[in-house]
Formats: sequence, C-alpha cells, structure tokens
Amino acid sequence: MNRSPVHSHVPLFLVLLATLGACGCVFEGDKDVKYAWSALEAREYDQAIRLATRAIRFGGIAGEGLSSALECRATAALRMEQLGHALEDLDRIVTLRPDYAGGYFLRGEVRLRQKDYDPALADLNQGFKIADPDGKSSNQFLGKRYAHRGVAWLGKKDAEQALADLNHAVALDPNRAESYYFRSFAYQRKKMLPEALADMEAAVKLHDSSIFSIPSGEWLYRLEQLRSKVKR
Amino acid sequence: MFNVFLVGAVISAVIGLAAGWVRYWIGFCVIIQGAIASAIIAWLLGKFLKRRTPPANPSGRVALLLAFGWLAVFWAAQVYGLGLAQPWFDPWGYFGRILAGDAREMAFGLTQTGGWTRGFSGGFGGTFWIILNALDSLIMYVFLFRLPWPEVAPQPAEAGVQEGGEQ
Repeated sequence: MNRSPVHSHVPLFLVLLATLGACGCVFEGDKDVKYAWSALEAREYDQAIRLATRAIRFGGIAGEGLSSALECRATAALRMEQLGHALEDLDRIVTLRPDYAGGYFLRGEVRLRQKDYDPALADLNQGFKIADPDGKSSNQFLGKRYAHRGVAWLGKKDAEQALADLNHAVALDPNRAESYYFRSFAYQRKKMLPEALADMEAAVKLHDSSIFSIPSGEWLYRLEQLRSKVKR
Repeated sequence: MFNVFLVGAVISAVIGLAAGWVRYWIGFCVIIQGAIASAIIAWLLGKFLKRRTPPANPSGRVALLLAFGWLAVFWAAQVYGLGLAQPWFDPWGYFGRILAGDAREMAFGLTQTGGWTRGFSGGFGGTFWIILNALDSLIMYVFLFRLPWPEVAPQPAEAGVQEGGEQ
C-alpha cells in the first residue's frame, strides 16, 4: 500500500512535540516566581496564578521560594475574589512558615473579606505579635494591617477598639485613603459626625490626588450623606 | 462512517486534552500547535482506516463535516485539558476573561514580514487572540479534512482510461 508522504513524516512531528514538551517541562522555579510577582503587579492575575502554579508544581522550589509562590497565587486569587482558593494557599504558608507575619496578615485580610471577624482578628493579632510585638514599629506598611484590624473591630461593633487601630493606621501611613474612609465609620458609630465628615473628605481628597484612582460613587455618596447630616 | 467519526472523536479528545494541558504550562504555540495536533490525529486515524478493507473514503462534503466535528471535539477537550492543569478548574472563566480582553494568554510563534522570518511572543487577548486561534484552527481544519484518508489505488476502469489516454 502506498504511504502518504505526510504519514511518513508523522514520527518527525512526534519528535517535535516531545521536544516542545521537554522545553516546556524544564521550568526554573525561582524565575517563575519572579515573573509571577511581575504579572501580579501588572494586574495580570490569571498569568500570575499560572506562573506561580508552574513554579510550585515543576519548579523544584521549597521553603521561602515556595512560600513566595503560594503568597503570590493567594494574592492573585484574593484580587479575583476567589477567597476560598486564596485561603487554601494561605493555610499552607502558615503551616510552612509559622514565624512569617505576612501569611497571617494576608489570611486575616481574606477572612475579613469573608466577614469572619473572629478568625480575622486572631490572624491579624498573630501577625502583629510577630511583626510589631510592642506596637511601636514605625513601618508604614503596617498601617494597612492596623486598618484591617480596625475594620474587623468595626465588624464586631467595637468602635472604641476600631478607632484605636485606625488612629494607629493613620499615624503610620497618613497618605492611605482607606484608613480615613474606615475611620469615618468608627467616628460615625461614636456619633462624632464632624470628625467622620473630616475623615471622609480627607479620604476622597487623597484618593482623588492619585492619577490612578477615581473616588468610587459609594465614597462620594457617603461624603454627601455625612455633609447633609452635619448640616442638620 | 459513524464508526470512523467516533474513533476520530475519541482520538481528538485525547489529543485535545493533552494539548490543553501543555498549553496552560507553556503557552499557545500559534499554528504549530494546531499543525502538530491535527497531524497526530490524522496519523492515528489513518492507521485505523488502513485496517479497514476496502477503504471507503467519504465524499468531500462528508469529509468536511467530519473534520469540523473532530475540530469541535478537539476544542472542547482542549478547554477541559487546560482546566485540569489549572490549580483550580476554571477553564471557561480563563478563556472568557481572555476573550473579553480582561486577561491575556502567553502566545508565541513564527512570522514572516518583508522576507524576514522572526519569532514573536507575548500576551494576547481580545480580538487579536481570536484571530490567532482562528488561524490555528483553520490549519487544523485543513489537515483534518485532507490527511486522515488513505490513498486509494486507482480503480481498473480509471486505470484503463489513463492508459488509453497515454497511448
């Protein structure tokens, strides 16, 4: 029987495929983790997840490298609102590196989004126990985490504790609009409307001053509501 | 002919699963991926068809329909295979975001412009991603339409006509 010329070249195609597969299967874990973080910064969340997963499965990474890949994937999942998947990775980080504050802070943030206030508070407290044991750190990145704990206290309807944490957050990072935004809720709950309005105005102004952000309709609506309440 | 379609569909599904899995890890190799996948499908299907006597090649229209069916099965399996590679199964969300232009897929290949052949790679989404995939699928479609069928020896009557024509 005659052999089609194409049929006789199929083994060559198979070799090509195997070569392509081999090229793809030899991945460098550390580089993939680096690219995954770059993808995350560029808001390419699907690619961040893909590269981090590739590093985890084929990259031969362990310890801090593995933790970094898991953290990157969890952050991407968090930003895509896939909270359950983020939590799975964060549980692994906490098991892998129990002395790493970042794992607790991020898991606290995820649990806060899930409105699980008690576990969120437990995680954030554990994070502070490691990163700021005496509460005197001047690291401005901790401002965000104090604000998260303030929000958790707000969720538990404890305005006093919330205000303490949000004041600390504003002191650490005075340029963070979200801290003012959440502090305005704490003031409002304590019936301190002029302070709530001042914080809301500061939040909108800070948010507006960034060329990358526009105050959301929700923020502007809240600002108008507070203005009318203060006028009354 | 239904058996032939069924066998082709099973082969397309297996190759599609593998292609989707590989595609997630290394990216989309434009045209080359489709060419390799369809060549393997055609080769395996050709092996099956050769064992059938007498060879019953379909008409052009039926061959076109069969190729379309196998391509559809391949695509469905490819999407599923990509989902299997993901850390959590979400291939429709993944392709949906790329189609909408909200995300990009890593793609690479060869192109020729102004007599220069060069490699390209990058993230593609939206309309351009659709065009690249359409090109790849077109190559696959042509291969699946043309390659699987074994060459049939000329029938005696045709051979006679040919010989007569030469005399």
